Amino acid sequence: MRVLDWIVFVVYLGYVIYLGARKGKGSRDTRDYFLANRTLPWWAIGLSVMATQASAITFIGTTGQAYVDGMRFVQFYFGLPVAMVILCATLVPFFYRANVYTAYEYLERRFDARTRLLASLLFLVSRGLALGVVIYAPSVVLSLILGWDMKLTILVMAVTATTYTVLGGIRAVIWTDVQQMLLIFVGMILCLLIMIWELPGDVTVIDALYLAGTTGRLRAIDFSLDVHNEFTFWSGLIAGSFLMLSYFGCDQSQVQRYLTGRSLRESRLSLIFNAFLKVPMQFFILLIGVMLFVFYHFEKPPLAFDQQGVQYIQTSAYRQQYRALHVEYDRLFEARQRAARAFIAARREGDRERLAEATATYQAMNARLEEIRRQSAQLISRASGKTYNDTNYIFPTFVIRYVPLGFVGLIISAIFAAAMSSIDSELNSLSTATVIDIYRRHLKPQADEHHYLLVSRIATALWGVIAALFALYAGALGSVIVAVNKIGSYFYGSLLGVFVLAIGVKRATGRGAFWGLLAGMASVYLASRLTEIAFLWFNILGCGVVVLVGYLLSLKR
Amino acid sequence: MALAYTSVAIRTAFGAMRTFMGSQSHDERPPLFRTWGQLYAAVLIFLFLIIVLLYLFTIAFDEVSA
Repeated sequence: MRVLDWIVFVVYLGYVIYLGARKGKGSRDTRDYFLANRTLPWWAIGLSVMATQASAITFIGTTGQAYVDGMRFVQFYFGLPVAMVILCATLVPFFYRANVYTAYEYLERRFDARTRLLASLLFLVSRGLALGVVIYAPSVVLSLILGWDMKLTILVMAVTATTYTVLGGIRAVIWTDVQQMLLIFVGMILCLLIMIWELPGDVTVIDALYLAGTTGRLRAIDFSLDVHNEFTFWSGLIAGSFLMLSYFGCDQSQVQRYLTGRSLRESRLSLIFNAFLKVPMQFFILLIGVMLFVFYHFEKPPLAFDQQGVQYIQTSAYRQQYRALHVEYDRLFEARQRAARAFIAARREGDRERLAEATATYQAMNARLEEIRRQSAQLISRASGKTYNDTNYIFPTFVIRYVPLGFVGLIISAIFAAAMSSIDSELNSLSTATVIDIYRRHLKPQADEHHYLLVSRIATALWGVIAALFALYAGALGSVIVAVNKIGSYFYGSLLGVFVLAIGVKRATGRGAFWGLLAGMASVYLASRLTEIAFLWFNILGCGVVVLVGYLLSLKR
Repeated sequence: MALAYTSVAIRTAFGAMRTFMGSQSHDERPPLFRTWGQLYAAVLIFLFLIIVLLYLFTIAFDEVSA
């Protein structure tokens, strides 16, 4: 990054802290600090809901995934509009009218205190640990881009987000999320325009799309019924609906957003806003990744995008093999570029025979080039002793190498914005669950509002410190990160099951809900150990077991 | 087991439907539509159209299967 980019970046960080402090000034009680006195408009909540879901790794990882794997990931979001409709018709009115601070507070009113405590603790443990990963994962990539020590990147991200969240509470979180989401939109549009601009003059966008289509990267829909396949139409629509129901209906980091609506209408509209926008937005992000794939036909990409891996191999016994792969890679890159140009020319001429021949040649070249990349990743894995995956480095590499002066700062700011808009919401919701469900309910029920407000700010700061510490040491924990990511899938579907019991099963009791929840999580754990089912289906399993066990136990009074 | 599961699923669905019907009566109207039900239908129709468009997009550029 050059001076102008640094100026843009520093101005962005300063502005976010200023905005957060200004918007959240004057919080006098926990209702204002956690619910903004229920005064916010639907569009601000809607953008905050979107910003909370889209972390930095979604932004850089999704583009990288489209580069490698194409558009099929878009199917993952097909369940979202369905879930939003169901939530608007069921859970949202319940939460809003119950006048609760947390989703779990409602469980005590319907069942008992222990079910609320269990649900809240599950949220705190899984979200608290996951927040460390939300900070750590983009820090790895961003520190390489910025040339910073990773600890510094983690600290800048965590300290900035924690500062304005402590100062301003949810009002600061939502209004900064609005600005940050707008910055993310600008960053995305800018990237796509730059990519199209940087294509050779004789290659149009339509040519680029046909080229990507030839490799199967534009296959957005897959109707196969394979339950082991992660991204199909059916897994996205059916299992994805359950995941989205769980995430938007039972995860405090999302529920708290729509509890701030100035009326039930505003809360519902904030979710409907996401129902309309989310799938097109994901399509757009994936399209950036696909266009990047085409862009790198005419500008040579590195053989391995994560340069740290390359450093490993340069000092290892595999360096000769890697050098030989690189020579082959250089040759194939030129050959693929010629084949791509031949394909474009044949398509324009409309000669079917020539087109078929050009398509076959291009596909063969592309497959060989991808095989070289796969072999290079294997070599680096062997040299470093760690699994090598450079998907998250593809998009940032483009930003650093090809984006013009000033815009790099803007796009890096957009990536930071994506990270911080998730971190702030999670900090705020962790603090809410800690203070409302644990501290005020079980530890100190009779204190005044001034005291609770102070404790809320301290809890936010403490969660910021815990998340930063976890992120700082996450690299050394290795498999723990994988485990943390899995915790969410164990608990989401089961938690949804408890809320289904609460609202849909009239005779469900506290005993049924409590033991049903534990049974649901145990069943998902067993399924993940004993079967190869794709993780999206776990949510249906967990929800189903909770409802069934909860119902049966509720029959025995 | 399957029978019990089906029974619970049907009861749950009816419970949710009761909730849904109950929640319609007291609320302010949504923008552009008369009822929330109409707005929800619009969301689902929009999703259907997006899926159709994505399918057309898939087959339009899919030179592999062509």
